Amino acid sequence: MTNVESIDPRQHGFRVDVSEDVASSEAELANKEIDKKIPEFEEEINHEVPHDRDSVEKEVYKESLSQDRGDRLGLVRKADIENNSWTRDPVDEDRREETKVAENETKEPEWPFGDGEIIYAFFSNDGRTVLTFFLRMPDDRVENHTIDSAPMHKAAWHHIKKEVPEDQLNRNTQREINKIHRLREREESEHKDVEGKQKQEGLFGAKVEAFELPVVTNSTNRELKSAIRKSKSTMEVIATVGALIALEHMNKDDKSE
Amino acid sequence: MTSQNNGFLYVGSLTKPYYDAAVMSAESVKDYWPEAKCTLFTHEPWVNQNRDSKIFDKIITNVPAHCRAKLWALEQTTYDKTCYMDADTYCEHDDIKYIFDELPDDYDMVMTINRAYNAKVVYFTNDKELTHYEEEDKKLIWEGGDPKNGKPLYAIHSWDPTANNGVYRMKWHCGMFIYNNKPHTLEMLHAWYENYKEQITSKKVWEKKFNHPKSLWFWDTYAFWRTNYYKNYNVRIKEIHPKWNFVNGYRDYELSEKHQKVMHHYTIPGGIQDEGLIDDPSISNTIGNFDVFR
Repeated sequence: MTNVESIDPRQHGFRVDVSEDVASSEAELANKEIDKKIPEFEEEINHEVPHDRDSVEKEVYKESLSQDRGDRLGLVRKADIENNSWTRDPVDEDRREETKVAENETKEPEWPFGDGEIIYAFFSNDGRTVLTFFLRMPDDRVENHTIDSAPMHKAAWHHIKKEVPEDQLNRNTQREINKIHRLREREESEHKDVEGKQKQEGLFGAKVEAFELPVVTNSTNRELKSAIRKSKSTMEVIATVGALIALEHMNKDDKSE
Repeated sequence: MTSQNNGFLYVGSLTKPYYDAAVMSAESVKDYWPEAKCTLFTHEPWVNQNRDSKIFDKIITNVPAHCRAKLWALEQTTYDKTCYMDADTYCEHDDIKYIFDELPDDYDMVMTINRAYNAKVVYFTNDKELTHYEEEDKKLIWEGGDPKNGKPLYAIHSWDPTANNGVYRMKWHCGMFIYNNKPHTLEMLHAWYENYKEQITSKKVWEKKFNHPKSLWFWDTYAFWRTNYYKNYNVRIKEIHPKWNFVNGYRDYELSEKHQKVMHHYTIPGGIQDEGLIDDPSISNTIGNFDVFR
């Protein structure tokens, strides 16, 4: 923001008239003097009409409401419709830019896959704005590509949708979705199996370790030893061994007392 | 309770977790029946003499480094009645002290029956393993596909009238059984060992030697069936209650107030088995070698 320094006009050679009869500043008085020197203006100007701010604003407002909004200053030029660039240098309808665009839209784009043949395609996202397709090349290689619906892939998009009808595309997409579900289920099941095996291995190891502890092996507490054998988790083994140790301590204390 | 020369036989071979499990199982038996006699067949480096000597009456080392070393050990028993117990078991009932009473004098062996609902395979044909609940397979196993009212179509022995149907049943669970030391019983057990040895080393020439699905090559249960299917050793086998060998997955309705679980049979996790493999240059697989003694 500009920082405007307030100045005292008097210090800069201006005369300031603060009497109530005077409408405006010294500059306004000077303007009046100049107007008087121009004869055309002298006739028009009604010096009796007060030129104070409120009166002027009222006049402007009244004029804005008036119906007579003609071009009193003569600023508006009427268009010469008989003599312009279109009439002087007319363009054939066929050569017009908008016609070309319309034509391009209806004309089939060129086959973008060379000698490749589309053998399978499906939508590869939920919004169906991405297509994955497989091309068989002349040497029987199969290439797979994935494109979105951006203008740069317009030709590929057009030809895939032409070669693979919508219902086929939908069936392929559903097949791929099912495949993903099956794979996911298999992965989850395998993951569970691995986890279960690891858990069982850990559990067996914990039981072996527990029975290598003299406090367990030498214990006569059949119930707790049996509970260790029956434990379904490593934590259960640890907790039961803990209970056995605690009991052994209590028994020792009782004997010493 | 019997005070005869009867005892439990445990085998912990090839991988240490089986030794650890055998020790824990025998200890659990002794918790409920301190007078029980137990013998352990295992590898010398694993033995914790101080602890194990309190649990086992005999510890026999220098045994085959094979996951089925039990088949070698069975006929080595010094007991009159031997209860072979898989290592991955534990005792949880006082009734263990009556276990040898289950084998009467007029029988040679007692075993539990394979539960089809819990076993990997029980019924099979020359070509495939059967699934007892599949409609198509049910028709092969029972007349009219009706397990309740239909006559069995499967055979356990080659002299069964159903032997020509081409459907077979591995009836007996081989994870726990009691046997006597009569010569014909030990002869059959030896044949079981020999048959298994032949089976486990014939994977590459399976089709030339065996008429049944190759998927059975690993199972000692199949070798037991084969041993008793083709030859009658006159070994009389009696079925006993599953409470003596209650396998993980058996259903609770098998038990009752009168018949409470005595021995629980779990499975040692596979990952641990591989990790604990005995370190020996002669062993290059997870099955082991009957000819390598450690």
